[in-house]
Amino acid sequence: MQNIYLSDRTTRDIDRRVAKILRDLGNPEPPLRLEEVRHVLQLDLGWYSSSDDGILRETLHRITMAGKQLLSRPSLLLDIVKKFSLKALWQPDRKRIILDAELPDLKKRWAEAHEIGHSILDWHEPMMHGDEKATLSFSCHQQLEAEANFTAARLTFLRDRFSDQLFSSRVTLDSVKELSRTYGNTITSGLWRAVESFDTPAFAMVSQHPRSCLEMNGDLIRYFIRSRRFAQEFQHVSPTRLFDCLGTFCRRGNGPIGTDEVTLRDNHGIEHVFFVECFFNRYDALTLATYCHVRSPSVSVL
Amino acid sequence: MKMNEDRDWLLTKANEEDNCVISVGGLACRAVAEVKSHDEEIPETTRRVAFARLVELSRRKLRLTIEQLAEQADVDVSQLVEIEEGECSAPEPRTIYNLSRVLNYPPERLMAISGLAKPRGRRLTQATVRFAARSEPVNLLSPEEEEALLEYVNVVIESTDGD
Repeated sequence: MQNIYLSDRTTRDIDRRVAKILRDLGNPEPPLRLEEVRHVLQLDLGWYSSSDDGILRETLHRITMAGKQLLSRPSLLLDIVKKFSLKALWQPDRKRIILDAELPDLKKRWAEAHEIGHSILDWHEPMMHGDEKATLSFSCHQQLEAEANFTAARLTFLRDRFSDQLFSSRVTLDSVKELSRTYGNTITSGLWRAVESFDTPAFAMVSQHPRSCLEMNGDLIRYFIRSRRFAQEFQHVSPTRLFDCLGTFCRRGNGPIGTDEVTLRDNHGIEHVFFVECFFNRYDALTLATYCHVRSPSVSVL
Repeated sequence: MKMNEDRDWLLTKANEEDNCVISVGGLACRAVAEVKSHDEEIPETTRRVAFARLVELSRRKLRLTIEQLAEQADVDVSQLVEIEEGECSAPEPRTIYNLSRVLNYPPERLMAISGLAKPRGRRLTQATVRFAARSEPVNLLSPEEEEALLEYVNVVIESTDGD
């Protein structure tokens, strides 16, 4: 999954709404308490799990989306939840967020912030109903999800505070990890925010271990995050090729697994050097690549 | 895990809570849509023409310039120009929502005509095809365009599932 960038007008609108919420909370220190955000927005929170799906069943009989269709398949909502691994739902009519109780705590926090994001953006409400009148296109759904993610990030990273602090010194995987913890967020979301804040070319990857991927199931690359300039200037550089490159200098095992300088060609064929570092936390390999300089002609090329 | 699948109970509950709506997100909406069989797509070129004309004629009916409509709806002029020229394949959801409020159309309907969603039911689809065929860009709203616009707008506002 790659990050997509929102238009300036949309991001300004979102940021205005987030700014108001944070002002109403007295511009709090990190980590942001989401229960306070929900209190300001008057949102309820509920939970479901495979062992306690009462809230889904309670909700099920209220669904009139597709009318009689659902009555003939009363387990449809549970099918949907399982089929799409939905971890969080938002009920605009009840102003309630429903989360999967089995999520790890940090992921619960992000899932909750994401659903709060949907609730803040009033243009999401008519589009998020399970409406019998229309089916959202995939690209529209992706856009709405990206907007909710952006909103969640602006909230939980307190708008520009995280990036201002991060960029006050050299950005490394360690600095991203530490500051993400301070803000109460996952390293993945911290990496995401960090890379999107770079005004130089940069990228990050969340993937399988580059030396052990044949032993693991699932997608090789879960997330490929590019700074705006990287997305614009290195359009032909594929995440698969970058992943293969990691295998040439990373070692097996956990923790820091490798660093190297990697040369990439931009859209015009000019070569640039990036400093790449990789860390494996037993679940994912986290890679951060930051821009160094234009390559001098005498050095060998990737 | 055990749930009540008694049909009579479900029917009773559905009748008690008619018109309540739950949002389960776009993916869920799409999943349910997969089991329905009577969706009808509007051909892409036709849809763009109809949407472009609907926005342009509605704007002119309100006696607004493109810049004025963009300002009232808080959307980019460039995106509005693209929409009215039929060049916008994927408008932003926010743009469509804001336009629906200024032009006074149900946002769900405008989503379907703009391409952000696939419409259900035949009536809107057929009306969109007719409207695209009838409308033509001229500076002033002709009586025929006025009539075509009124007829199409009535369908946009009033059509329901299964029409």
